[in-house]
Amino acid sequence: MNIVNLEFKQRKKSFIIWLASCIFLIILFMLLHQAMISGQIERPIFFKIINITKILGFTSISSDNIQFDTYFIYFYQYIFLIQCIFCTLLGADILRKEETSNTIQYLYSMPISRAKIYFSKFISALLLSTMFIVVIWVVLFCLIALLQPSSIATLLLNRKILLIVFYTYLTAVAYLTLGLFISLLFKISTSSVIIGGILFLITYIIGFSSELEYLSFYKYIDPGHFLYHFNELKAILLISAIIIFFIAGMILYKKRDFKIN
Amino acid sequence: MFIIETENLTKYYNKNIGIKDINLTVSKGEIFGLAGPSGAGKSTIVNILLNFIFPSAGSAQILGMDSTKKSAKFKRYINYIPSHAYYYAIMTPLDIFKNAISFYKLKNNDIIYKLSDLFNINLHKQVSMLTKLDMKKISIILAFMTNPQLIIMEEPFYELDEDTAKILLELIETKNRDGMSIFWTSQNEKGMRHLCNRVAKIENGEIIDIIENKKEMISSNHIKKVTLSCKDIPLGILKGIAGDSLKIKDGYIFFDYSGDVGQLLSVLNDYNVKDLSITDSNLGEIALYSNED
Repeated sequence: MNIVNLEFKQRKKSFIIWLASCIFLIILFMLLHQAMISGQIERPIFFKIINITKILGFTSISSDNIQFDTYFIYFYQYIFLIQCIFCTLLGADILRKEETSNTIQYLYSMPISRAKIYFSKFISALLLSTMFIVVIWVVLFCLIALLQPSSIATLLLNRKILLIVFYTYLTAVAYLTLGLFISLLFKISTSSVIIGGILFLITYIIGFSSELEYLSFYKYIDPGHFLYHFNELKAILLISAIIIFFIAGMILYKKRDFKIN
Repeated sequence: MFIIETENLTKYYNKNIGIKDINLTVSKGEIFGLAGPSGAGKSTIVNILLNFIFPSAGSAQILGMDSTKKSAKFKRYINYIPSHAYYYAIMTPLDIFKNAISFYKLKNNDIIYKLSDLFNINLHKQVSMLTKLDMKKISIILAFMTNPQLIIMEEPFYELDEDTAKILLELIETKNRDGMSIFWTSQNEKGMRHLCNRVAKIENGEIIDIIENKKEMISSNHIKKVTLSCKDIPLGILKGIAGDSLKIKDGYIFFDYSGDVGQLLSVLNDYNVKDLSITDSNLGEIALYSNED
């Protein structure tokens, strides 16, 4: 628990900034929908947004439909995107930070094995990611209950929405373990943000190609895509990827020469 | 059983040689010095001993345990003072000490407060606000906190002021008398000779010599450097006090003195002494050499 505590103390500030930014975005989306319904925003502007995002490959919803549950799926894609980026960056940074800040010198002079450091760091990242995702869902449903009370029951009873909650979490964890694994392949001087950012971007772009779809975690559970194209095989592949990257990362970490200044 | 034993320890960094065929032993209760210039391979040896890095060939045993396989186990009994200490910026020294204690599952925190008082460190100031001296003090407290069998220290006097250096020396002497072993690396062999039983010289990744040393304990053999300005003290009196070490330059008198300071002051009290300074020469030498890098 001492490593988990250490990690929580260190990442408290950046965690709050990420969370606040994400909640701010959710509030903006909710207000946008409110404004649209009340006619304060002309529908064509909203449709233009949808058209742009369609070009970017974000959405597959009909622009004629602004029912809340569909709108929810539409804007949740952006939230999901942030969750995935957060998890990739966290995964890429969680082990490397000890070496870039030279604190590994302290940590690994303690009576602790490399496997335990790796496992504790992974648990810390997993808990932080889970907290990030859970808090966002709670805020999301609270805001929906507040601003769209009639929609909350429909959303909660929609099996596919609940499946999205579960599978987006799995995707985020897959990105976390992928970030963790990939970060161990790079020299310690390479920035974790660059590694995580490039990694996410590559997997995201790959997802546009239907032939390479299975190489992009993002497209596995892309919420807009999910409603129409989900299959259980993707879920199995996702869980397998989490296990494989976790084990491969552990093997690399146990054999690694730490960078000590 | 040796506390440290290396056998043909070799490390390559890509195609460059770090260390080659290093064979060293450190016995229980020994203070062993490893001296060599920057880049000679001292840190590579320490990093392998602590399993920060893996050897390319050969092996290292700490307390009879393989450094690569039983690292978590032997680290319960050894500690480390790095040349440059780094800690988590958002933590306080107290957080760090408590965190370290938790790895050893020790319940009594009294030692934290005792050592912090001894080294005069503010336990509640954030690490980001601390000086390099404070960071070094934290590393020293961490090293002695769990009463280990072995301390591996790299340039331990680097960044220390004279008072802290003196406290550290006394602590090393006391703990060494109780059986603690020390593996000390430094760029300056001369600074080590007062404490080390043996000093190995390393150059270009190879041990070139191991010198047996007769230790000159600091606290048991205080040689002080005296500097004074006094015009009316007779030369004969001075020679009686100072012996062969007497030097006079620019109106100042310099000599080494190992007798009782009270007696010296009572003699000097009879003359018109304008300026007087008495410093611990051995301590100054160690601190000076260690801070040269």
